[in-house]
Order: sequence, then C-alpha cells, then structure tokens
Amino acid sequence: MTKILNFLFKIYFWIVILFLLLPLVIVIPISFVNSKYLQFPPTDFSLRWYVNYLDDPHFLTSTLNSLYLGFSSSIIATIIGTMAAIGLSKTNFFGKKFLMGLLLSPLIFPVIILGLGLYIFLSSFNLIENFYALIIAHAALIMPFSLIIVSTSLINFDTTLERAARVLGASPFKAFWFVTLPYIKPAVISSAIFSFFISFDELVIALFISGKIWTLPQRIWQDLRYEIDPTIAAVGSVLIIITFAGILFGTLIQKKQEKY
Amino acid sequence: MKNTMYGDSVTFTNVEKKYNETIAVSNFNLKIKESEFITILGPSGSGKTTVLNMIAGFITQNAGSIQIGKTSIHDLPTEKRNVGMVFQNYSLFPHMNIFDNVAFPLKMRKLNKNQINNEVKYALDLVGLKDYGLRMPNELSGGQRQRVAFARAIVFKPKVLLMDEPLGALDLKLREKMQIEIKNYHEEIKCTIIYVTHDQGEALTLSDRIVIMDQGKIIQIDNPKNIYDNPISKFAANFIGETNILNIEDLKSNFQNINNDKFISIRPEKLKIISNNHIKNENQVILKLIINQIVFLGDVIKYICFDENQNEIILKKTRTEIENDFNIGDKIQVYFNINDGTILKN
Repeated sequence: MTKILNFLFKIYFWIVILFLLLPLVIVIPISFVNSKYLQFPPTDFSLRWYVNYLDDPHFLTSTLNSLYLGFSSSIIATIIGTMAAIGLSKTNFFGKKFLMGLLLSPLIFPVIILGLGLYIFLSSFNLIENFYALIIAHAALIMPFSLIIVSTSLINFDTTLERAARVLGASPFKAFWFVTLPYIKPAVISSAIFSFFISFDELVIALFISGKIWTLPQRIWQDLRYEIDPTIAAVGSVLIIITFAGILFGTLIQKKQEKY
Repeated sequence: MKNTMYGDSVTFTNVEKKYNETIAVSNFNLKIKESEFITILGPSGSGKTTVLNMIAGFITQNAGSIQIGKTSIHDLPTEKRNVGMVFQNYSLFPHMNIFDNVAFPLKMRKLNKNQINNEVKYALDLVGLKDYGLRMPNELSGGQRQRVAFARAIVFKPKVLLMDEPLGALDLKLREKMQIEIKNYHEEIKCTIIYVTHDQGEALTLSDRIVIMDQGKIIQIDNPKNIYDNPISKFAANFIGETNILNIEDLKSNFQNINNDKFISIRPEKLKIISNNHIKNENQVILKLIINQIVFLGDVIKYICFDENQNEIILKKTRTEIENDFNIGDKIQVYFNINDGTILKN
C-alpha cells in the first residue's frame, strides 16, 4: 500500500516540477529557430536571433541599463539591509517586531501598489524618468531580502565571539570587521546576488516610474505587445541561463555558512 | 621566555551591580593577590559571572571601584584592560585557523610578524598543540579547543586571566585531566587567575583561595583546606562537599555550647562505626542510625541513614574500612570526635 502511495507521490512530484519548469525550458529551443515566428517544436535551427539580439541597439542599451540598475540597487540594498539586520539583532526595544514588519512590508504589499505609490510620490518631486530615483526605488523593493537573509544568519551567531574579540584587544569596529563580518559574509554575498536578480527581472515598478529609460524586462514587455519575434526567446534564454547560474552560485555560498 | 609573566592584583571595593531593581552583586570587597589562583564558587545566579564580566568590562558596576594593580579600570574600555579570558563554550573564531585564532590578540596589538610567530609558537607549545596551527576549530575535539582558547587568552601575556566555567562543556574524565593541566599552566606563566565555577571539586583542586558566593554576596573566603574543614555557614558547608548538619540541642552530650550556636557540621567521612571493643571518651558524640539507602560509588560506599530525630545522616566508608557489609534497615551506631565537627555561626 505504502509502495503504491510512494509511487503516486513520485509521479505527482514530477508533474509539478514539469509544470513549473516546462514553460521556462520551452523558451530555449524556440530561441534557436530559423523561422520568423515563435515556433514549437522548432524544425530548423540557427543562431540568427541571438545575433539579432546583440545587433539591436535597443536591446543592448536596455540590457546595460538593467545591469547597472541591478548592481547599484543591490549594493545599496545589501549595505542597508545588513546594517539593519545587525542593528536589530543587537538591540531589544518596544516595537521592534513592528519595525521589522515595517521594513519587510515591500515584500508583502502588491508590487503594483508600491509602483503606484512611487509614481505619485516621485512625480510630485519631478523625479519620474530619473535613473537614480529608479535605483533607490529598486533598492527599497529588494532591501527586505538582504534584511531577512542576513538576519537569519545572525540568529546562529554567538555574540560571545564578539566579546572574545573585544577582551583580546579589538575595538568595537575591529571586532565587527574581523569576527562578525566574516561570519555573515556568505549571507551578505548571497543576498547581494539574489537582490541583483530581483531588480534585474523587475518590471512593474520600472513601468510606473522609469519613463523612457528602458530596462530589459520593459523592452521584452514592449516587444511582446507589438511584435512577436524570436529575438525575445533568445533574450529570454540568456536571462534564464544567467539567472539560474547566479542563483545556484548564491545558494552554494549560503551553504558554505552552514559549515560553522 | 619563561617566567616573564607576573600577575597583577585585583581589588574590589564596595562593588555593587543592579539589573533594574534586581541586585546581582552587592557589598563586594575582595583583594586578589598578585599571581594568585582564586576561584569564585557559587550556584547559578549567585553573581559570580557578573563579577567576571565587570572585570572584563562587558558590564559596568553601579557603585564601588575595581582596580587592576594600582589602576582603576572604570574608564578603560574592554580592549584596553589587557586581561585574558577563557569562555565556557571556547568562543574560538570559527573562520580562522588555530594559528590565526591564537595570533588575534597579537595582531590587535600590532606586533610584527616575527614576534607573532614566536609568541604563537610558544603558546601552542605550552598547551601541547604546536602542530595544529593550520587546523580549523571545528576539526578539534572539545579538550583541544579549550587548550587553544587558553593559548589565545595568555599569548599576549596578560597580567590577569579570567576563566568562566572553562571546563563546563567537557566530560568528567577530561575535566579532571584539564584541571591538572590548568594548574601546571599557572605554575608556568604565573599570571593572576580568576576562575569562576559552580563545581566545588574544581575549586578545591585548583585554587589558592576560594570565594564562595550566594545571592550576590561573599559568604566565605579562604584556602581550600579551611573552606572544607571550617565552613562558616550552613550554605558553605552544604555547597562544598557533602556534610551532615546536626542540631546541637539534639546531641544529648556533654557538649559545651558557649555562644548558643545552633548547628554543627560533620563531614560524612569523619563518622566512625562503633566496633565491639570501642572505648568511649567524653569528646565523642554517639549517633544511633538506621540505614535507609546504600549507594555504591566504586571505591566508596555511601550510607544514607536516619538518626533518632529523623534527620538524614550521610556516612561514607572506603570499602577496606568495612568489616562486614550492612543492609538496608540495619541499626548501627557511629561516633565522631567533637573536634572534627564545625560549629556553624548563626
């Protein structure tokens, strides 16, 4: 009886996995088609849509924009999120849980509401279509991820380690630099990687506030609306591969921390 | 390199520490001599760790002063106090190898590479781990980690070394072995050691003097022998070793009670079983006991008995001392010499 159940669960497991992954994976063969249309299964193979992607100045600019946006916002978010995590782990005060909830709220609120709010807020300062405003907005969106990842790694941090460093002659800053920071480093790096990809893939906020500064998801979105051409599949494939590699790398770094 | 270290004295004057309204330590006066090995012994919550944390500078006293040598440490931050410390859970830095762990205090003091190499080598040699420099802390056993923690705490030649229940996480056999090692290290490096523990055996083995603490107050300060032989109060008598506390009025003997003190403490091993050819003299007190429980401890047998007033009396005999075995329910008579008992001050 249990054997049959086990077997059924296995089938169920693979169906769910296929359901989740197939739409992603299907993009990759489509990107290699030779025809002018999105075609599945492909009959003829070529790399022409990749060439097209690299030749298209619109796509290239928007890719660079997204990279720049992702790097900047993830660095800002990681620094702020890490500092917040350390501060919150060291203190206990009335309303700490409330503050934590407030800081995590961008995770919980629908992004579209956040986008609308940002739109109204930024337009009153005339900051729509401002790249720096977009960076700050993305940093605010992804900061909670850093906060959560670093906070989690700090839960297991033994604060007597910092005390030990102090009594052995380290100033508070040196104790942090030589003891606490190396301990949370894997979490900080992986949170930077994760938040980079969240920003890199983000569409809704960019649609609201970036105006004519095109990010890559925006460009894909735009192209999908007006012309359906396999270049998008090529772009999508590149995105999938890069994201997959990045997330894998981030996860491996996080695993490293469990060693201690 | 040998004997270049000498300890500093540590002086507490009327030190008090409160957490909100709870008093952790009060009226704490203690002068620890140079190079002395002193143990602060007490149950959890007695304030013993608070005392240690005040020396280290993790917490600040509300009143009174603490001096290391002739310097008041009140305004010195932790890192400037120049004391070594060994923690209960070792607190080795998990991302550094053993060499870097031990070198840490030296790097903080900006010694040059050569000096660092020499000092680390000396410290690791002292604890018998000179070939372990490149290992990571999680590759060592508990005892080895504790040795590394010790090496790290003394590598910069502090005048005062604090040890916070350093053997608490080890098993009994290893604990006994490490006690002897710590004593040897102390002989070698001669710094003042302030050792906190709740284990009375450890305190008796290691210390020049023992400070017994309870509820934030010092109960008794003395050397191990005097602490064991002459406990000052019921608490001290009970806390160090096992003891029998008898109500003096119950001892219908020719006992001269001058100060109207109420209790007398007598160690279990001082009770002797009366044999047939026993000759009574007037300095002896006789107790009639019924054996209620027998605990076999290997080298020693412990008899838990009741006297005529239903007080629990514990009796300990090495196996060679007992001519024939006793059973539960047996009635026996024991005596002790009055000089062997300690009168407890009220």
